[in-house]
Amino acid sequence: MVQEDYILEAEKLYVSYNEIDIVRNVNFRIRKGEFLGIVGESGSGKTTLLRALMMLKRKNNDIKGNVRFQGRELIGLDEESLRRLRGMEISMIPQNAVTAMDGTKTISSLFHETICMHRDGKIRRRDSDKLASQIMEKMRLEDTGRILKAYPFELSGGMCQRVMIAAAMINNPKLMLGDEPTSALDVTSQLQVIQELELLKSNYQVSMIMISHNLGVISRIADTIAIMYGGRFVEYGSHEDIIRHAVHPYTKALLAAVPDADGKISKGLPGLPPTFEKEMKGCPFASRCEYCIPRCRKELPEDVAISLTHRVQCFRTKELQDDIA
Amino acid sequence: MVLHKIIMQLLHFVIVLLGISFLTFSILFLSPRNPAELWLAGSDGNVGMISEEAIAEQERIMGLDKPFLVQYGTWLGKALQGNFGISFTYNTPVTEEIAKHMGPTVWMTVISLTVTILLAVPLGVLCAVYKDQLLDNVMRIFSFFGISLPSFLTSIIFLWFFCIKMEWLPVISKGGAIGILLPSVVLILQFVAKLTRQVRAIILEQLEQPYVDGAITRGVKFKNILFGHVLKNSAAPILTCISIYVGLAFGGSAVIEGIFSVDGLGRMAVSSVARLDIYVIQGFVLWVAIVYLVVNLLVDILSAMIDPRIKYNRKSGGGS
Repeated sequence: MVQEDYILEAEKLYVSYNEIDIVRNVNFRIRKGEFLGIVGESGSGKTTLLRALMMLKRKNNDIKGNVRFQGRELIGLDEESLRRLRGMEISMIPQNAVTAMDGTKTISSLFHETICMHRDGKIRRRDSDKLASQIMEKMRLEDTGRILKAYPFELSGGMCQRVMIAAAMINNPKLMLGDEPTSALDVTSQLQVIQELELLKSNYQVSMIMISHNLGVISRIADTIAIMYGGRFVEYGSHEDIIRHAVHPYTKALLAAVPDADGKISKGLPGLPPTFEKEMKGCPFASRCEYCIPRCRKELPEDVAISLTHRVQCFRTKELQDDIA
Repeated sequence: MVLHKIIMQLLHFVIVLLGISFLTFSILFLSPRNPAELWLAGSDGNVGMISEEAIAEQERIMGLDKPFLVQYGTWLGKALQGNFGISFTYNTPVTEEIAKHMGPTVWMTVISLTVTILLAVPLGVLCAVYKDQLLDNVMRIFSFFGISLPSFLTSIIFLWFFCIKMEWLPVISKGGAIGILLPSVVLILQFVAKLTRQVRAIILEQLEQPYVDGAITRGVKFKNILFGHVLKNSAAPILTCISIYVGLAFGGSAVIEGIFSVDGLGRMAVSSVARLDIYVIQGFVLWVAIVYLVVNLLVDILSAMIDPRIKYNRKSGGGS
């Protein structure tokens, strides 16, 4: 069985709001311990995709295609089975940990609840505190006794985020989803959170999918990188493929837009991301692409495999590849 | 720290009460009608027959011939000693007058608020959870009528149906439990109609908060999210809503009391205004103000007990 080698597989995944597709034909699969980073601008469908992987639905929200977690299809699974998966097998680190925690409850209560929800018998607060302290100490958080007694608003944003990562790890999940976990933090806290995620990757073999608009952050930890534009993975490949041998004009523009050590950006990307409409014609990037040809505005480019790990959605893949060579 | 807060709050009470009493006194003083004249006219209101001398004499007896500030000062001095003046109409101390009429109003308030809370809070929560479903739609229609029908109309319909058509209850109340039954029901209908919608809106707003999503991603059961998180976060705003009804019930049921002949505070206040019985009005206004202030203080304390963020904001002087 090939499927069992993968923790998560998404096939022909479409996610729509009010019958307008926000995520379009996304395909990927990740192995145990693999870190997939999804990069895209605001409005590219990253968060919608991430929420769909956990089957978190809002009103008028529809998910189509296949999402298999350890070979088990998640689309159409009943709410109780999904609940058992969430926080136990698949956990999520939110963008803003302070607001994602209930301000009327202590951190101790957060851990206690997360553990209790996935156990048949009850667990005493003292025991859950002990487990929470252990995991936080492994994440190199100090003064765990004080943290456990604190309310979320009594901790800094960075500390909350790190506590949230510990809480996401408390039940030893197989897959962790990160919704821009560093974007709301200052640079120092960002670094701490990234180091914590690196630690998880090396020590726990947990698979991770993290979305970000920051290619710099993703390129630091990801094994595989997906570049998302207009709800599609326009380029997908290993870290090396994307950072060293990027082909898609959008990926190149993103790489050029990463500031250097002096904070200078060599080249920005003009124009705005596409608005989502019911019928979309042509390549979503066409209007901003300097390599655009008439065909790009009429037809939708499909995946072109460059290597076993690297694929691009562009009609001019061959020419662009030759350019690099 | 807590004691300091309470002392500050009490000081704030005194200032508010002084302000309210001064304002009420000024408004009554500026009234174009003369309490002495009204007193002499009695219930037939035949003002034309009374001589100027008689009015002046009556003003002197009532203490109305003195300048405004002297009148207010005299009243305030006595009030601080617990003497709120003598009713012009009944010739009894104001405190006694209020105590006499308090019973039915307090009972009506207690009964209507208890039933309202027991009905409206669970109904509001259910309407939010089952938004746009049968119960929510039925409650929306009920609330629409409850809010838009004025209480005097509901009262008259009730009076006609239960007392005249069905003859189940007496038209003129003889006091006691039967007397306050219908007016309490009118109050309950009015309050439940409003509070259910308010609770529904508060719960719906809370259900949209990021911490609910956070709990879902941690695999928390919906039952636990609702009772453990959403209700706790909604408690403070719901309590604030309820506190408004306490004041409304104590002070605002004059019309209902009048229609159902309940000898309560509201009715007392209305008849005192008609006779410009300054001290009784003053006493009533102060009573309502004290009720509001005490209820607000209780809500503040309760909210801080439930939601630690409120305590925290106070400690640090606002903001987190």
